[in-house]
Amino acid sequence: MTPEHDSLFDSLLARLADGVIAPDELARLEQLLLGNPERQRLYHDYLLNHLLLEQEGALRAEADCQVAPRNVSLKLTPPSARPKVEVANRNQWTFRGRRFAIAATILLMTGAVTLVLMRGEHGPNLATVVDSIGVEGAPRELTAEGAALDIGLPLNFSSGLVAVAMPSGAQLVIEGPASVMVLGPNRVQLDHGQLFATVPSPAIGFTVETGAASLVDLGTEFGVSARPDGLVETYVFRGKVRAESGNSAATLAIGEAITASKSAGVSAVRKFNESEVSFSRSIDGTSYLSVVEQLRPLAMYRFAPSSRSRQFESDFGSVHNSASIQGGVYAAAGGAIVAPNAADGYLRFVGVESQSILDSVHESLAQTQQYSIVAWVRVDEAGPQGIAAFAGEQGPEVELGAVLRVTSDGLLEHRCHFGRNAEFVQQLSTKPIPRGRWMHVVAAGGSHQNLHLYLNGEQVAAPVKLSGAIRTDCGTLVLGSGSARSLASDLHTGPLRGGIDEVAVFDRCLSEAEVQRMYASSISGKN
Amino acid sequence: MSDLDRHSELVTLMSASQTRLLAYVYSLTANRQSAEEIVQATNLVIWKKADSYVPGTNFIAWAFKIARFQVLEHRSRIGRDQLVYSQQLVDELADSMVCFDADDTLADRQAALGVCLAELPASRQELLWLRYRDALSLADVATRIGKSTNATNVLLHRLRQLLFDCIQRRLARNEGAL
Repeated sequence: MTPEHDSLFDSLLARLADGVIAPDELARLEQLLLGNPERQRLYHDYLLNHLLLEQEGALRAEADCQVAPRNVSLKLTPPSARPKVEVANRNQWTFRGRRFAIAATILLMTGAVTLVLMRGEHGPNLATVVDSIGVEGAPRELTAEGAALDIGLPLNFSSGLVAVAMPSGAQLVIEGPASVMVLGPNRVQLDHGQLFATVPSPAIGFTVETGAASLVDLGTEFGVSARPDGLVETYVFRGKVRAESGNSAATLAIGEAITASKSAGVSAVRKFNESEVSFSRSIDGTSYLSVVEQLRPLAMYRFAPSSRSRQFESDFGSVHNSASIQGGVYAAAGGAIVAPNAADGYLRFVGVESQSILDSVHESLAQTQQYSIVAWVRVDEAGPQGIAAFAGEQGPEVELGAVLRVTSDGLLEHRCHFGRNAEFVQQLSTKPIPRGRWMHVVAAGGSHQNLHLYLNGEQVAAPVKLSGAIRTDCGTLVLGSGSARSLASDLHTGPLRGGIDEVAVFDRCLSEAEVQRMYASSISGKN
Repeated sequence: MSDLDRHSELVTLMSASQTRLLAYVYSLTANRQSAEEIVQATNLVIWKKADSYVPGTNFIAWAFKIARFQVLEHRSRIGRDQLVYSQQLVDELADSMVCFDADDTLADRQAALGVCLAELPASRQELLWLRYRDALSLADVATRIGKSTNATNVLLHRLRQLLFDCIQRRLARNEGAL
């Protein structure tokens, strides 16, 4: 080996490790390696050490994140008072916790074999809550950032999201209503609820135990939905997962799903489209909910199955989160909305006269003279139907402000009434909207300003100027339309046949950039 | 050994060998992304073949065999123009690496890395962390420190070399102490 060759060899190793090596340089590297065990050893060790440095760097990045200020809050408190979240990117997670794998060992715990990965120099040996949002029904000390989830301690919550870091490096986002328990550093039990797992390679073998199946990760991203009736659905978004139930088992690859039950075992593997399923994959500063919250809505509503609506309390003092339901599809319960169908995670309208009347926002609209209505909407059937409107009662009459509806041609319409003589301006989408698919819809406008209509982040109608002042007496948000004397008669609009979820109301006209940012943050459509 | 015990042991062994496997496959492919994919495929095969692993035997050697086969499969799938190394070199490397990995434990190597890192001056450490903690590309690191990419590549290489020499010394000392 000549010194010149050593120098070239070193240089080529460096270029390979830094990802800048050219094909001809690789060919040269091969020449230097062939038949030379000494260089082969150096080559292998160099790459191994390079990988270890990557791990060390990722661990330090993680440690930095844990002490960094946070930029997302659960409540709509003033920005200055908000705690902040450092956004962890996927690259940082790739190696997170790899250290723990090195000292893995098996312990027998309370009759069950539990894999316990020994404490590393940089991390705790417990599952830890790293973030949570909108959690209800659980003690704050169990879901606050930094809370340790002891093995065998059940965590139950009725709504909201909890992000958990497993000692093994697996990252979980659990969506309520849920009941979950940590069984070990790389194993959890999900009795019911939704769980999304991001599992870096050191944490392979991460296992979700459900009543119906064991789901063993083989280095991947996957979602599990465990329903109260015992059915468990598993979706693989990246990598592979092994599902086992009794004598049946299946290996799922990307884009594949199974359903499992205690009685029937694991179903045949089927394909799924990501837009068909909704898992909250993160609650960092880039998730849809976080982005919406950062834009400071007056109020935001999510509708969970069989639970009270998730109402993100407004810091607009005069708003009271009252809700009343007409038509019998949904029942009012203590100011919250209860969906009748446990499988529905949204407000489902089935075409009868029904509507959901939400907050009154008169004062805020009067103050800013601007509004934006944001919602995920799905229209299942053809025909004119209302989606949302600002309405107000004037004696026996119902007056309308801004209205979002579907026309008989299937176009999306944004209409804004102004003045006392039922004058209005309208925008119509240039194309009919798709049916049976969730769409992100935004209607925004203000007094003497242009109206805007967005569908999936894009303006779908030419802006039109409102030549008067918006009707601030129409400050009650109505979802689903259908009241015969109001939307239906005034707009020749029938009740919605479809769904609405994640409704956000703003007292300002959102910019196009803000709308696009919101839409872009929704990884797989509606959460 | 019960199925549950076997499952747990296999998970432990797989977890503990991921870095070794990645280094092995990365060495054979010289392509980081392909290596990650091949390791994942290897994990799946290991899982499927769990019953054929005899507890107490050399797991890493068994895993390397599976990974080697996966590398061959990968090579047969991709076009010839995408092959980085010849089959001859792949075979030589694969044969020799089985021996390398018997020499020291990853935990020893990691421990040595931690000590050696701490011995570096803070300014040198910070340069390394731009690349490894902040996951910046070489070009971004170069921009950050105001040097050319080539100069930055050389700087990083020297730092890595310092570290690796230190690691080797420490590992050799450990061996001598045994």
